[in-house]
Amino acid sequence: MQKMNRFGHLDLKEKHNLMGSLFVLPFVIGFVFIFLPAIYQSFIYSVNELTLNADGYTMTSVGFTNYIKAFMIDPYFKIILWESLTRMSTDIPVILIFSFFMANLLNQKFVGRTAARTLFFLPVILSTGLIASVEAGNMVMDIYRSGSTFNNGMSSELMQIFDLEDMLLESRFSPQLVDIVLSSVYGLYDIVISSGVQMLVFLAGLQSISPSVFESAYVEGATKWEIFWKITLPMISPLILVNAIYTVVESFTRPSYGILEFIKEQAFRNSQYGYASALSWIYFVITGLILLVVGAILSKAVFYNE
Amino acid sequence: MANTVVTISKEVRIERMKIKYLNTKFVADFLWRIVRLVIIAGISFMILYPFIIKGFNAVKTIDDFTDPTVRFISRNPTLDNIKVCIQKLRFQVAGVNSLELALLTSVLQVAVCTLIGYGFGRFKFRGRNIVFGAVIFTLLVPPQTIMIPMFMQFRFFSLFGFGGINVLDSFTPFIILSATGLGLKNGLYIYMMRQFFRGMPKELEEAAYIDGSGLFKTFLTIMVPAAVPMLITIFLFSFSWQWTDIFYSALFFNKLPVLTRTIADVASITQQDPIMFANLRNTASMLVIIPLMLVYIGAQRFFIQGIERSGIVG
Repeated sequence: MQKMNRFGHLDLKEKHNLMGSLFVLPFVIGFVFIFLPAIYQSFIYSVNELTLNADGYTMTSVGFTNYIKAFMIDPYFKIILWESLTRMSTDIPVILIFSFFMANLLNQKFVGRTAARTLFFLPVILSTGLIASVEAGNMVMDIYRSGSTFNNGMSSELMQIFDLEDMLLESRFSPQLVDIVLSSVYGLYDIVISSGVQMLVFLAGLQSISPSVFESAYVEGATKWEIFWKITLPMISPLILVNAIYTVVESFTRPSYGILEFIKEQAFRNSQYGYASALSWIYFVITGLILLVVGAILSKAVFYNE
Repeated sequence: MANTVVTISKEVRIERMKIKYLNTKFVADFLWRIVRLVIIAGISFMILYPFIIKGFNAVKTIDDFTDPTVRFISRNPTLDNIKVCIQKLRFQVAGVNSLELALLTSVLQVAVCTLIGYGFGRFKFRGRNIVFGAVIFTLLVPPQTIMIPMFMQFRFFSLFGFGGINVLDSFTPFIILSATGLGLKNGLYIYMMRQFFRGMPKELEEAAYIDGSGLFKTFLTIMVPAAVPMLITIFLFSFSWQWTDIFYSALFFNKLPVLTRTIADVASITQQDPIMFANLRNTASMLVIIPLMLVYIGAQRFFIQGIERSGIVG
């Protein structure tokens, strides 16, 4: 019950706060009437077998067979899942470190700083909203990925221009070595493209540290190294948490890791809606778990000012 | 002593220059500047390169495309690709549709997310944390998980049991989603606005309340104007997201032409010829991106400003 004053009415503060809930009303409505049912439905689908006919759909309950199928019967799911997860686990720390480094760099004063910042945030704008559709092909992602998916059958334009691969091979380096070098080059490319938002957040954070903190540190005789580890890093640590969580969420929903493609294929190509639902639920639960773990670990390391 | 000329001996001059330029700090600084320049130039190139390539490729003919001696400049630059794509993309129709849709949803999302963010940022109502958790939840769930139920919901859309109408193939699903703060990445916008409003000094509102302004009026006249850089930032995100959205557009639209869908049409005239397809797809995607780039360039000053003051830092 709301706290009531002795006259039996809500006091001013309570009234004020109650009005506040009106502001969030649209979201609550949408969540309760659209989102929640959708989640619920999705779960129902995952324990059913769905058949679409002319004017609706029929469901037959199959219990958890879909889930069992995912792990025991389907040969592809586990492989793709594992592969995507391992790739993510290397990408995420690299993205964080890289974006932190770049944010530091962009924070320094140099000629053309504004131009550089504009440029660097271009991928952020242009790579929002990219979920690959298998047929039409990604649009903007196309533009970027065409420079990086050299193992995907799509011709890589970067590679064409630089003939890097040919050059390396002709210099008699072993193919394995060339492979490693190339994949790191394209890996770097991928990282650059996907670090935009994190860079933004880190940059904002760096700029909010008041210079007086640094000045007093210099006056006290701290070296740059010390300043970095003892001042910059702790003050930025809340943002590291934010960025980590955001990166995890974002990479789990990024289509370049084949897992999402796979799920979608199951749904629309093979018309196995129930199975696809089950798969996405499994995926979602894994995402949630990893997020919890990462969040818990990092929260311990975060330093909160007051 | 005004006219005395002081001559510095050569040795002394060299010594002084040595001190000035040859110490560790200066050299290290100088080296760092070069490294930094290389990094920035390199990455900028990486980012810009695909667009430049797209531009050059768009004017190549098929022969140029496959000609190994042609790198950037085509032998017979042609506007045919562009013409074909404009026609196949139904650029006029689909372009206008995409524009309408993107504008509509972005404006709605900006408005709604600001409202909701304000509610979270300024008022401590019961259940606030739970609802905010729900917001984050919407951010977490991959769209694929709820893709089918969403489709079903809008296919047989009903309000409290009345209806069952098909609202697909129109802007309606998008409008509903945006108006309830459930659009793509809306959770992020809500979070951003919440942080922003938290960072605003309370005195502003209190002054307005004392002067007799109501809650909502204060919101409109004081808080919103203060948040303009943020609003523009969110608008930009939202607009570009909607413009390049393939997922929801493919899900909800069947006949309605928007640019992201008509791109699939481009494939139809190529009759399985992969090279021609690649060439045309190239041009098509460039054409679709250009309006977005223009919007970005126009708004980017607000954008960069907005993020840096967003108070994500708190």
